[in-house]
Parts: sequence; structure tokens; C-alpha cells
Amino acid sequence: MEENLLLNQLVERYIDNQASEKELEVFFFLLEQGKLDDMLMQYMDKDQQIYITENISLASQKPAKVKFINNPRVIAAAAVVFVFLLAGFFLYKSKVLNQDTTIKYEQVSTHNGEIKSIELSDGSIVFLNSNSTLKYTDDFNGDKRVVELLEGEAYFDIKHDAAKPFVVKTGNILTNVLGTSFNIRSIKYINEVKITVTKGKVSVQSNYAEPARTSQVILIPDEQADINRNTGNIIKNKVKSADILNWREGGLYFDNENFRDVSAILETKFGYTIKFANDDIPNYRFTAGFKSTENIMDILNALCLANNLKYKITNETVLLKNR
Amino acid sequence: MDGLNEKFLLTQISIGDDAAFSEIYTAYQPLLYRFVNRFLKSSAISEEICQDVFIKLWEKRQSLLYIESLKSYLFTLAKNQAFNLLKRSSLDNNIKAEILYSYIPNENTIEDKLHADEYMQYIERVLNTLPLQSREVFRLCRQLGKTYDEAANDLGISRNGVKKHMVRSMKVLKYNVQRDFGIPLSVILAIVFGS
Repeated sequence: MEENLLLNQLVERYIDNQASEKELEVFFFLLEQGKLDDMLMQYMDKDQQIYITENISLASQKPAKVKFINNPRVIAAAAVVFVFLLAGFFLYKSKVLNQDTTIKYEQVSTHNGEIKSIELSDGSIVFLNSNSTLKYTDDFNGDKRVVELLEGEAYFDIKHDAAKPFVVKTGNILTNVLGTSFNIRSIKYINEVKITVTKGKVSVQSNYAEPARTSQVILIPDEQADINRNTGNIIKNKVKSADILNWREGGLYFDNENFRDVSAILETKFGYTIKFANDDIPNYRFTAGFKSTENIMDILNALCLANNLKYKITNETVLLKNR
Repeated sequence: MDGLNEKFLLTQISIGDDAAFSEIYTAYQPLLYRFVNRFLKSSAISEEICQDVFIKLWEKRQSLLYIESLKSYLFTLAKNQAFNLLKRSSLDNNIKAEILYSYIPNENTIEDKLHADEYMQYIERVLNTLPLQSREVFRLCRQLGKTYDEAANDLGISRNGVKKHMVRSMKVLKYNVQRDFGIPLSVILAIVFGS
């Protein structure tokens, strides 16, 4: 008999409580040698599949005795599952051998008023603000961990891995880190992309072909890079990063931002359209933080009070005009 | 538990609702227990593994919304934990002793006769290759299980209490769950005393 069959028998007898003293001794010895790993995993996988596919419920059963293996239907199901597992295993194996490197990308989007958190396969966490899209892959096999913020705002809490830098792509802008936390806001109708660091060190690079230029800055905590989307020009500012992150609790924070950008953010968050009665208003600037409970009226009131404006809401449209 | 209700509960858990967590716990703990106990034999160890699974679930609550099937997720967690523990048992004499003590062989002599010859020869052959010292350790493990009974008697507590204590100490159990994971104490109590 082949050794594999003997090992299989041993594992099976262990599981079914049929192993004698001697067999147990051999079982634990071979287990230590790693010789039973595959066998054990197969049995575990098999059982797992049965539980998952067979909808077993314990409502009327005692947990102690395992009875279901006597059921021919289950055995048949298990056999089928096992064949599939085996097929899957070989398929997987052949793929690995063929060095199949096609990377599968996942894409997560949020809609109005929704915030999501995503855990990446390396343990890093990404909080995705409303109306944002993140593209990522679940296996970071290359020498870098690359994700792409296609739209919107996200806060990244990155697991340290010196061997594999983490890179966030936002259009032509690359944010490189080893292990740190930072926030990126890249909203398509706002010309400035803002990258803010809360922990560690981040390098931000913009690569523009026309005109050909590369700019780079290094950011430390409470520093923000404002990057002009059109020119790639980077300006470094001091900020309070904690305030910028309060969107994660549903809050809003505006740090000396012009009304054009403020209203773009309000539009995405509340689903209103914001219009201006004259061309000066979009260039007004505004600094304020809001907690999650506040509605658009509270924010508009604060906006107007600070800038001597008034607002009128008709349907889903807000009109801002001078008082 | 149907998919829709499950999705709802997961959403609730992801925002820290411990009642929803308890509901998931009640629905799945017995199944997971039965699943891992078939491999681990000891009820104390199996319970600990289940606990670990639910602690993990709570830890990861913020990413629960992306789980396709909670059931597969839980069983995969349990499987990996059980596998790792069993692997560890081959090196850790305390765990091995507990498994051996809990291992109650079926009386199935007819079956045994069928297994004769080649298989039994194989077992003997492997046994003969084992160093004396390692055989001695195994015998000690065998006895260790019995000493738990004595310890329980001496301390005037239940044998299960001794086992629990032992399993705990060897796994460096997360006594500081509340602090480390922000898991509410009530949830822990539900886990510890719920079954």
C-alpha cells in the first residue's frame, strides 16, 4: 500500500475516534513532522463544505455526536464537493506552475452620504468617503502595494512593510509610503488634490507629460500637499490633520477653502445643486468644521453668517446671494 | 439564518451593535463547535477556538460588509484556527495531554480486524523509529490528563475549571480583550458564559 493511503487511514481513524494508543502516538509524531498536514486539511475542507452547502442546523440536535456522515446523501454531496476541491486544487496548481500573473482588481464605490472601510489583504485599512471609488487588488505580489483612488476622498492607515512600499495613484499623482496614515482628497470637479499626513512620512510625486515635469514633496504629520491637477504644481501647507479626518465620523471640515470647492463637497454630501447669484461668491473663502449631526441648513447658515450672504432653497437647488 | 437578515446583522455589527453580534454568535457557535470538535476532541479547546473565531469577527467588524458569505467566513476562520492548534499540539505537551485525555476511542473491534496487517505493520514500523525519549514524553502526556483530575480535587474546583485555566494559560488568552479590541464586556460575557 502507498504511504499516502496509510496516512489517510491514520487520519481518518483519528477523526472517527478509532485510533488506538499506538496509533495516537504515531499520529502526533507524524503531525509534528508535517506529514499529516495535507490530509488533515482535506478532511477539514470536506467537513467545512458539508456544513456550508448542507444547511445543517442544530436546533434539535445535541452538539456532541456527529451523526450526519451516515447519511448517504451527505456522503454523495461530500464526494462531489471533494472532486470539485480536487479539481480546483489541480487547476490552482497548474495556474501557479504556469506563473499566471493576471491580477484581479476589486473596485469599491460609495454613494451619497455613505462611508465604507475596506481592509486590504496586507492588513491596511482604507476609509472611503462618500461618492468615492477605490480600485485595489487582493494580492500584493509585486514589489509594491499599489492601489488607485479613482475618485473622491479616502483615509489610508497603512501597515508597515519596508520591503513593499505602498503607493496610491490619483491620476498623475503618486503617493508613496512605507507604513503610515494619510488622507487623500481627489474630487473630479475640484482642481486641487489634497494629501494630508496624520502619521509617519509620505512622499508625494506628480508626473506630468505636458509640460514634462515631475514635482515631489515629503510630508510629515499635519502637513498637507495641495496639488494643482492641471499643472502638477505642489504647494505644502500646515494643517490640523485631525480636523480633516472628521469626515470619517460623518463630519465636514473646510480649511480656508473657496466657495466653489465647498459647494462641490456639499453637493456630493447632501445631493443639492448649489448656484451663485454673482461671480465673486465662488472665490470667497471659508473655514469651519461640522459634526455629523448637522444638516445642510446648519452649514449654509454658518456659511452665510460668516460671509454676509443669504441663501434660498427651491426644490434641490440652493442659491447663494449677497445680503 | 437567511441571507438578507444576515446582511442586516452584519451591517449592525460593523457599526458596533453587540446585540446583533450575539445573534450571530447564537446561530453559529454550536455549528462551529461541532465542526472543530471533531478534530480537536477536547471540549475546552474547541470552545476556546470558537471564542477566538468570534473575537476575530468582532475585531474585523468594520470590514464585515464585504463578506460574501458569513458562514464560509466563520468556518474558514474556525478551520484555520483548529488546524493551527492541532499542529501546535504536536509540540505543546499540555495541549497534547488535553486532547489525549479527551480522546475516547469507539469500541469497534470488527473494524480493527479489517485494518490488520499492512496498516498495523506501518504503525509499528513508525513507532520503532521514534527515539525513546519522545516515547517517554508521550506516556507522560497520557498521564498528564489524569493529573488534571487530581489537581481539580486538590483545589476543590471542577475538572473543567482546571482545563479552562490550562487552555487559557497556554494560549495567552486575551484577557484584555476590552482594551485591545474595544469589545464590550457584555459580549465577552456572552461568549464565555453563553454556551
